[in-house]
Amino acid sequence: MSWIDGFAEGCFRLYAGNVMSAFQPLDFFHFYPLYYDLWLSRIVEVMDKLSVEDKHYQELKDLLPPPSNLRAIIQKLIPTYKGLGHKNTDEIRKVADFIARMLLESCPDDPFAVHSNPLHTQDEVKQIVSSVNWQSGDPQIARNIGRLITAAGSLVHGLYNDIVTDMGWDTYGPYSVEWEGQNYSFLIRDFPNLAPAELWSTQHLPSVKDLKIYALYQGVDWEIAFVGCHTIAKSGQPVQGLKKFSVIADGKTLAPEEIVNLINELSGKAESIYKKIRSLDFEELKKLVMLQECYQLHKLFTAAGIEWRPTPEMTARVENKPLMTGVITMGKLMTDLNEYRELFGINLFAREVLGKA
Amino acid sequence: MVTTITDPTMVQAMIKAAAIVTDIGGITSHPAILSREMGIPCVVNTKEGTKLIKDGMRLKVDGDKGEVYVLD
Repeated sequence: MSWIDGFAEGCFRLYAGNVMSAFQPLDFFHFYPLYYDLWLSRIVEVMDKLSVEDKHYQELKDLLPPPSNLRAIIQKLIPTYKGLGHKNTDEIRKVADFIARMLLESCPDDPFAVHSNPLHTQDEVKQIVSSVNWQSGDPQIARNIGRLITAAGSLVHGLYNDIVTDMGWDTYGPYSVEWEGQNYSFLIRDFPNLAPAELWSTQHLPSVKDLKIYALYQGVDWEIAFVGCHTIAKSGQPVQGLKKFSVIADGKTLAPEEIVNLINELSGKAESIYKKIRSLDFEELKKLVMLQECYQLHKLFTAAGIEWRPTPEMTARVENKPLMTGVITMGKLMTDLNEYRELFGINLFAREVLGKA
Repeated sequence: MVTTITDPTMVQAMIKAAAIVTDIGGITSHPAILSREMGIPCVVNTKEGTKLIKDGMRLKVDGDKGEVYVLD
């Protein structure tokens, strides 16, 4: 498969102008190699048991996390290969190729979210637009929608951590649509699970599990880029450009005052859960991050009849162990694709894992 | 709001902020993503914003240019 160049382009845009130390609450890329080989072996076992290599994305989509989360798993596999000491090549290739194929099949027009995250077909988009109970937008509502996304996104940031965020938050589109004789740019912000009871006790979880925000814009040129879930307005003013919206929480369309209540609830939960995370000691934090990582594929594991939680052997690998060093450059500001490919281990991965010159 | 980097413990302040300035972070960092969603300006990776900006200063934050001006 020759997906790596497209992935590198999307992934580079994720890190361009960023430093690795901005990712919180742990130095993930120097943590994963402590145990990832063991997790990879389990993923391969699950893949074999479910015969996933014979199945199309459409047959597996209900068992997989959102596309942006699949992209995030690949971007963790690449430097982890370097951290594992260039071992486990066959297992890493098998998992990476499988995830890449799921992306090529789910978002064929832009699998690695270089400019968009087009999960839905045109027919699906039309069906959604015609079935949504649209309300009229204005700048005040647009700001509250932004606050709601901030509150939900911040909660997800704690529930799942900084580089599993996409499991709890993806954004689809931008889709060009026509509705009642007008042309719009359509975005779907999807928070599929704000209450993962497997990760957190109920006191930390909100009353709402599934949150969907549908928005129609005019005069805004949107891009969803950087491996996905990140909305960028290339031109225009999103606050002025929001013309229609609908916020749906657990299947119920929310009125504007209910949106304000939900902002307050989710922002309060986001703060309390992150204070809890900040109070964890290093050992507790490592175990939480490993649990969050394994949770990404919990539906796939469960379908295969295999426990998704970390094994005792995985836990033992990280217990009382310091983080690794030197896997990637933490403080380097990424500004150049070729330099990024070298520093992040993409060229090494392409050469040694995918066998691509 | 001026901080080294935002995190979710600051979310209730973030949703009230008129602009966000951080010492580190990039276009896909927590403050940049969320300020775009809220339609407020944000400048990240200033390196020394928290050192140079003091409580009570009036600022102009130009998110398009990535510049922060002290007004008084």
